[in-house]
Amino acid sequence: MLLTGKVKYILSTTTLVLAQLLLAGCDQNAMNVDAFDTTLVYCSEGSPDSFDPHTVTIGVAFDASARQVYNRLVEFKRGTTEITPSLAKRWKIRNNGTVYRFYLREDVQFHSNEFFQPTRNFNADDVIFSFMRQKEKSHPFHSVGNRDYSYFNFQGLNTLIKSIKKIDQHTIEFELERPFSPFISVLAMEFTSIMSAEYANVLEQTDRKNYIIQYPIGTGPFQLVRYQVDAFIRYKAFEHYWRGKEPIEHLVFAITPDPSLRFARVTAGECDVMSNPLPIHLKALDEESSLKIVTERGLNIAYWAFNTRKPPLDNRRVRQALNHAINRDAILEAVYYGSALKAKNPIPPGMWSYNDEVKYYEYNPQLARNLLFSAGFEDGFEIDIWAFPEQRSYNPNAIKTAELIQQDLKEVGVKANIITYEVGTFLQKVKSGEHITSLQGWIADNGDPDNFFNSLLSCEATIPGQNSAFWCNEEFDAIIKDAQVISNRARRAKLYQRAQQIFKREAPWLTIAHTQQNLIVNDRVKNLTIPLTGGIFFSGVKLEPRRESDMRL
Amino acid sequence: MIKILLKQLTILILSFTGITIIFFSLAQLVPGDPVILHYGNLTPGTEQYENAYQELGLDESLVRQYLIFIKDVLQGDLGRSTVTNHSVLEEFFTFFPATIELSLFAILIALVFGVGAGVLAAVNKNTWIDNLVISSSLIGYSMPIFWWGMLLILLFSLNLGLTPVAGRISFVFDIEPVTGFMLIDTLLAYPKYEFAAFYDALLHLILPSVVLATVPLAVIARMTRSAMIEVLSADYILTAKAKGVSNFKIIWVHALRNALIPLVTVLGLQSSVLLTGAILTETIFAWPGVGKWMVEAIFRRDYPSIQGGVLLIAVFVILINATVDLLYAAINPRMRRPE
Repeated sequence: MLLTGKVKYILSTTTLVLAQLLLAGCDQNAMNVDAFDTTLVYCSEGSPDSFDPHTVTIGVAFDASARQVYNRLVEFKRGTTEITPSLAKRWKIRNNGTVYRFYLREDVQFHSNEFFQPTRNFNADDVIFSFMRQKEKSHPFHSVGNRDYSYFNFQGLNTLIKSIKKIDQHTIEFELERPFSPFISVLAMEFTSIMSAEYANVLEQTDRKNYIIQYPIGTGPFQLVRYQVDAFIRYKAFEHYWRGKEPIEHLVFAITPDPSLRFARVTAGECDVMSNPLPIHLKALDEESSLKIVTERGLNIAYWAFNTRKPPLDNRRVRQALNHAINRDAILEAVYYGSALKAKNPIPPGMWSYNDEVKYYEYNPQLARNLLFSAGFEDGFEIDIWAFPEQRSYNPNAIKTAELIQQDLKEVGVKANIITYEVGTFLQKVKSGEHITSLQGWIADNGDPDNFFNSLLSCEATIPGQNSAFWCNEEFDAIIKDAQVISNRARRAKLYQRAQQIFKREAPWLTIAHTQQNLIVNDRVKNLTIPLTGGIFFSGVKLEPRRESDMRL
Repeated sequence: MIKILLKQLTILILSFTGITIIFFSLAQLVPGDPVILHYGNLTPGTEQYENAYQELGLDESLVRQYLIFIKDVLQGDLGRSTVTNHSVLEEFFTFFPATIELSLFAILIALVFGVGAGVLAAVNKNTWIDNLVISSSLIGYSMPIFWWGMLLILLFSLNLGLTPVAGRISFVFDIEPVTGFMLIDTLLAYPKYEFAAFYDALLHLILPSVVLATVPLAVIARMTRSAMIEVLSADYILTAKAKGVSNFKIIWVHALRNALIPLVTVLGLQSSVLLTGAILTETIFAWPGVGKWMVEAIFRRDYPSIQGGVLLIAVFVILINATVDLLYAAINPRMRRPE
């Protein structure tokens, strides 16, 4: 009868409390309202699959773990893609950019929970643990979680990092196989979050290794209190945060996948911040409302990729013709409700090395027909347009985009069929190059242009199929490879600007749009900004007391 | 009574075998590699994959696979969620109290108002009251729950600001889940928030349980009405009237007691309607119960969770119906009489 004690406790407490309830009546003044003024509720759009920043890949999971609970060696300066120190105070680059030495902060403490009380501050061992876990297959924690270190491998760190050496307790040295100038930017990405080696040790000894991804221990501004899948995540401010305790005492993610319900909740004051509002929500807010829109340009691109390995799209003139045939202003109006920027380059305007000299392909069906004629397609041809079945931040409606493209193509004598698959199948088929054209998109992982050029347009990227145009241009490829090893930014920018001109001439894509990121925020929330690289950070956010009118109880 | 018990037990075993067979065959039809569905990303050909393949018994015959499956189910092993990697059974039971709490409230509302409206209509047969009850129960019965829920949120939460929009409790309150029943847990947390958390939880229950109660309420009202009309014209009621028993006593004591007997069966049948309704209601109100959990599992293609959830809900409905049948036998003297 294990339950007896618990049941007795429940019964006795319930009786006692019910009795008091009857006696006290509805004395609402007695309630504790402090919590109202110190709790920020964020209506988020989904549940994280785990709190492991090393293996997760979706935005909501990074929001829940890396961006609140963890820190990294370096980070992006607010509102920019500049790198500033974080857990590393400063760093030195030597040997032609193959050796990076980091000097670590000494005053950084880790969180604690019911399984773990840290006995030491953050040091070099934690850095080694966090990288080796992802790099070494034999590492005891490598097999914890889904074993899929996609970011680590995708950024090439598995082959790039030769060794990580501990010089002393607070100095650490990364040796790279070859110079790689985006390395520092990569270290600001969420997947390089620093975990506690000591915590891992404790868990290993008690045979609970899996807890490291369920009950995260980090050095970040908030620590996890409670998580109920599909319901909420609760955090509290970390008392000993190395930058000082956060002004928000309690932080709750209210998981609300339905955008209309999220909007209803933020309107009723149940949430202070709403993620991913639809364009229609933004229009519904008026001047007097206590809700405000926080907007930031996004480092992303939506594009229509032409599979350059398949005829007739292996012909440059045909690709240029398609670029002239599509009325992008119509797409921007109908699909993005005027909230996005027309794109001409593969990188967004906010990013350094953006080449503003490049001209748009103007909408000109006659010119398109002429180009097709000169390429020998006077009778036109037939193609498929693959469109993603779900909403994405860079494209709210790919099917609708495809329909508009379909109509424009008809004007120039090209017959297009729209094809769609379930998400997983879609990605798989595009990666193996089964499409002829496909509507794609990309969101920056870090602020470095290499993250666009190399990931999406290099010859190397045709092998895993991330380069969905399967475009491999020697001249272009040589330039972006050069830009990868040079560390002087001005020289790199020049190279990337040239690359953008080649891109424009060769037209492997039709660049469609760069979207903005939006949040709807109650005006009692101060100091909340959206980082350029996406996601949400609640560090530094302040909360004013709730107004009387917002309080229901 | 023993005969009835035995009969119920046989029915129980037969239905359980039935649903597990259907269920097992459905699992065979799910697209994709069963090993990957069960254990996540394993590459075929590796040792890990082969071990998993054997562990799942995929090299055995279908009949043996079914028996292994039954053994696992009886031992409470329904597999692990491919998304969270938690045991499906454990996860189900963390969400189940929320659904039970909501359903109990809904059935309470449906009973009180349904029986009340039914009696009112029967007593005032063929008057405007009767017509009102009949027509509104028809509307209630045919109303799409989704639309009805949205309408109530729009009116009571957004326009009038009387009730919360969604969820079980305001996120301001940090309530430790002891029983999983929010009303009990908020009382257990006393005196952290005084009674504010309890009232808040109660307030959150109103709209969802009204929405969930709508269909059963309509069914109960019509059922009660027709049963009451039949009973009221029975001879013993006439006798009671002739003896001068008060109208109140005739309706609420003599007639209602007998009219309620068929209602017990209806209640049992409504349990499945209630659980189906719960899936919609929980989705509308972001209510963290099994219904919402299942919907999310479907979106994530989390097959073990979907399968385990469906099986557990089916078993639950069967159990409720068996209990109701026994209850029916217990309260209806005619069922007990030896033939």
